[in-house]
Amino acid sequence: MLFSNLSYFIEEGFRSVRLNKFISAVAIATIGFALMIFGAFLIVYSNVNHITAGWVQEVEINAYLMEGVPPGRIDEIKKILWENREIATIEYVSKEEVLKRFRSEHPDSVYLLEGLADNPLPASFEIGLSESAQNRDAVDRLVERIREIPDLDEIQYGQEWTRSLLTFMNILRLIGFILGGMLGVAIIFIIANTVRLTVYARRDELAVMRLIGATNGFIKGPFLMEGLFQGLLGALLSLLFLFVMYHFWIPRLKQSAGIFFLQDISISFLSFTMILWIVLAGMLLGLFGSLMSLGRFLKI
Amino acid sequence: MMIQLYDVHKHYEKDFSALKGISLQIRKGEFTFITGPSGAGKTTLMKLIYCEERGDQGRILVNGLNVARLRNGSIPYLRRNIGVVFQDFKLIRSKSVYDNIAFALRVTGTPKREMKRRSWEVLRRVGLQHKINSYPLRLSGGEQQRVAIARALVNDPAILLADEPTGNLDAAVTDEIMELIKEIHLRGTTVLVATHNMDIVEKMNKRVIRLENGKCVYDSNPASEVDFEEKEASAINPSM
Repeated sequence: MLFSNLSYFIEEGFRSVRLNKFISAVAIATIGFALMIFGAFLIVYSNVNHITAGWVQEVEINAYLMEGVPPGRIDEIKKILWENREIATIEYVSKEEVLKRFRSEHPDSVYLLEGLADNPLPASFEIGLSESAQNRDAVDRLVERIREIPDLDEIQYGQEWTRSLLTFMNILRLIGFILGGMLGVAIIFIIANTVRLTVYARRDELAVMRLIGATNGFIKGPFLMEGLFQGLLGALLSLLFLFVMYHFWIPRLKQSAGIFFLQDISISFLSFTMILWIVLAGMLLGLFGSLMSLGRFLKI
Repeated sequence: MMIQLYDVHKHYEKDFSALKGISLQIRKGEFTFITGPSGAGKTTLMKLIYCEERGDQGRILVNGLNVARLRNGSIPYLRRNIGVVFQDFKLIRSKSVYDNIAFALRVTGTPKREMKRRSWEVLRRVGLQHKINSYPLRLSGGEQQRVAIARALVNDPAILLADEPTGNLDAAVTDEIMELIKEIHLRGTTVLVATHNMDIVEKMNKRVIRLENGKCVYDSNPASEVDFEEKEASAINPSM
């Protein structure tokens, strides 16, 4: 019985969309537009997230040694550093090594050092972090501990820009939540209104259904299906929009970006999971919207 | 006893009472007319029986079941046992004759083949098998009412309620429809017809209950003491 009812609900849901072509089309287009905005945001967010994830992972701590620390002390400091579980690699870079690197990496700037008697570049420890320590708090705590080690001068880590990056990502996420929430509510209202109109248009039919002993569930079924369809079609429409825009705009954007760093970065479309989520969101919002408007309409 | 009302009251607004303490019993398989002027409470009485309205006071038993206390979720199941026919037919215009009738079976979860067989059979009973694919607006008033009757009968209900079934029909068609209802009654269905058309009441020579201002003012054939005993028995064993 459930199966035959389901096929009836689907049939009737389609019929209702067909009979109310204009209202349905407007609803589907609006949902498509709303989900498209959200989808576009998701594309931006996931790409920014993907690009910056690599940067955050490259965070490395540089601990510079004071001038004139005896070589024996260097091993001691190294030992103390190894006591921190967050540390995965430690490389000692001597003054000579730094100079060598500077010379090879910045051959044009070598003249800066020429007038100087001593090598001004400090020796340092390059500290790589284990994966478990790749978050802001862990890094902050580790740096605090390293600071307490005597004979170390300055500690440098990508602090400022990682911090801003993480803050930026958090803000972006928050915007996503707010945007998603607002669009979700909007979609629910659109569907609720559309279904309300179709319920109103078919009120005589509903009265007859009640009269011949249809249960509320049976009466609601087709309308729930209608909401579900509209949500589904809206979601598919938004994906189509996004796909077309992605293929049309991204190459142009890259071209016009010219010297900008965008040229080297590949911008990807929504992942399969995200596509599924958008479709599912459309359907669920549709279902919920029609459920909302039916509650008030159907009474025995 | 099929239908029993005890001191039933129904108020629509504060100072307007549609029914003021109605008590009556209708036997199983009985044909009864409810008459009275417009606004006497005929329609309200019908609505209380199939739970379109709920009474404010009193007991209403339908085949032993106290419908005044029925949960909302159980009402559809009660209605599948009561066929209802209206003056305005209440057919679904966007559905064909067949779909209108089969719809009453669909809501009960009847298998498709059974649905076809029974819809066809009931259409033959009302003499409209040749209009099976027509749409309601293409039919005459009499034909539409026949479809409505067919829909009311297709679930084989124990009770048929007809609220002014001939109100929109001319005299000749009225006779046809009343003949059809009489035939249904002869097959054992309990029939309750609300009408203010005294011509048909007189022609049929059946039990008549007259309502005026929400009160029962006349009953041509009230239920006897013997019937009351029967009532007690069916109340103990309320099988439809």
